[in-house]
Amino acid sequence: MFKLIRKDLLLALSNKFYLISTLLFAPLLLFFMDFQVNEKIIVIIIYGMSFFLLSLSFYYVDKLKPEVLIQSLPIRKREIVLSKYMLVFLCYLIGVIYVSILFKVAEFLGYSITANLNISIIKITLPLVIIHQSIILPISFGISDRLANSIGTGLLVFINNFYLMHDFERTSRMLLNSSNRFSVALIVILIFVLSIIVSITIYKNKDLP
Amino acid sequence: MKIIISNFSNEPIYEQISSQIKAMIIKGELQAGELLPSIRGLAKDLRVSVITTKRAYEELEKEGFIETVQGKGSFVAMQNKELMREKKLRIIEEKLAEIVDEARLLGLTYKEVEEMLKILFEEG
Amino acid sequence: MLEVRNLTKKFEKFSLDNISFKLEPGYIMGFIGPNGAGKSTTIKLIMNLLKKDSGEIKVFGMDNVKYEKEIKQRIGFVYEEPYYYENLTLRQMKNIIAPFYTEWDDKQFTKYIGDFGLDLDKKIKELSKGMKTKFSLALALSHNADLIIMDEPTSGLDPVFRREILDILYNIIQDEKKSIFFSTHITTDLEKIADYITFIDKGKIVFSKSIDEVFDSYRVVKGGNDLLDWHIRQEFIGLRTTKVGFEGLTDNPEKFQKILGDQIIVERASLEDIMFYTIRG
Repeated sequence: MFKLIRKDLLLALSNKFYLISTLLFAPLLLFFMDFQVNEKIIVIIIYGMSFFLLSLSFYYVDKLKPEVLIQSLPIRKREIVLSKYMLVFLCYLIGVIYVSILFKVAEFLGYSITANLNISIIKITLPLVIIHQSIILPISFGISDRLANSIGTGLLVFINNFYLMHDFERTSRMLLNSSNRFSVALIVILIFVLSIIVSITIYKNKDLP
Repeated sequence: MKIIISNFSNEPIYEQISSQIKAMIIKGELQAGELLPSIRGLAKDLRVSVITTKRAYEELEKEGFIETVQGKGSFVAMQNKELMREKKLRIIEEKLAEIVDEARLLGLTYKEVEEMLKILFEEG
Repeated sequence: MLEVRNLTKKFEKFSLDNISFKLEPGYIMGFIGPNGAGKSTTIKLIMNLLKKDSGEIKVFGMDNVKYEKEIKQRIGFVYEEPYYYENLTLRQMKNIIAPFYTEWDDKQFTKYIGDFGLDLDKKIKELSKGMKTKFSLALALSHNADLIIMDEPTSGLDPVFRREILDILYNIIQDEKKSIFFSTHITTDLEKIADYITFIDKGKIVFSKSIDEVFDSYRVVKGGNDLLDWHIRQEFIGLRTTKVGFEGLTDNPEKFQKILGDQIIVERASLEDIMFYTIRG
């Protein structure tokens, strides 16, 4: 399974153009805003970055054929599915670390940061990313990568807009309320696990066209 | 050792192989106890299926020309001198029978055939 | 080593109908048939890239779905279509694939790459089709696979390449514990190397026999058109008539000899003849 994650990372790294765009997305955005960011912006950045990182290994012209290769190797389809789900956490982690480093660098360079990456941001973005991927991964396994990627991008844009335009005071408070955290976590985990089960079932029964 | 097969002949390839090996044994070119190529090696060299070479060897074994030892390979069998002579005699008999048939068709007498034979013997 | 029994798979416009055949260790089986006959489908089913509707597929004696992972460790595969990540180099591709095989032999791989004249640092998209096939072969042969499965590996290759690949296959098969299963529509390749031939057409197995049996049973009969009456025509599996005579395939040459004797020529049938006349009728 880790070999699969390794393969995805190798692929992501080989996609030089998209890799660089993804890495530049956050710093450019922050730079233009002079690092005068509020929490919302940070949320968007992390959400976006995780998604782009995950897409990197998907971003493949004609991925159909390499699928034949992967499925012919000594791997179970279940492992292929699980590795993609594990990748979600990995990419999220990379996103968070990357942004934190960006902030530290910015501070070092003299910018004054108005908002910072704290635990409450993680409490918002992590469930967001998990649920987002839980929705699109079964589509990618069941129908196609391309469709999943389009829907994923659409979802990203839609949610970001929605998020920016409305005030989520009440929902934020609810999410961040420590007494709620177990129920929130439970729901998120449930959705995640359900998504995994759906993906495995679909993928196992899917014929390679 | 020389084995040449023709892909275009009507004679099945396994037969071509077995008859050539047989001829070599009868002529003495292959000595008793000599190791023959493995069926797979031979198949590769001749570019034929291993089934073909296997069959050729099986035919040779059935007729007593070779012996196969499990794990070691196939060897030319000890040819009973008497048996060999008998086999050769039989081949000559068959050929003579052919000649007699042809002669009869042409209307030749025994004397005429005998003349021809005499000339050939003296020539050789 | 490979056993397929009553395999069935239905598609919209085509179905694989009750396919059965068996391959023992140490032999090469050629899988022939016209385009669209079901060769690739069968191979995909063996490799579990498609889900079968019914029937049994056993590799090394084990069910191909239940023991998929163990089986695939011992299978080397070469497919027709390119299926690599084109932007990667050969080396990178190898580094992705090799770790999946417990018995990966890097020395073996390097030797094949050297023999084939491939440059590991070249990107896959820069390779010609022949080189890609050789690369696939190098990968397939470098993890001690016991069964090599190939789907049209020689199509699109020039005759020199094809000979080279056949030579390699000959070398592999010197080991009696390995088998090769190889689909193609280039019958001349198979005539040289195959031990068994399985012929498939329109999703059905026409025959699955040893190559000796195949060549023993079929003959091509040629003669003048005046010899063709309705009776005789029926005896042919497939027949082709021209202004100057006819040519047909039979699996009962003795009958023809008896009826027509000297007036015809009876010749060994090539695999291509057998395929052509069986399909054409």
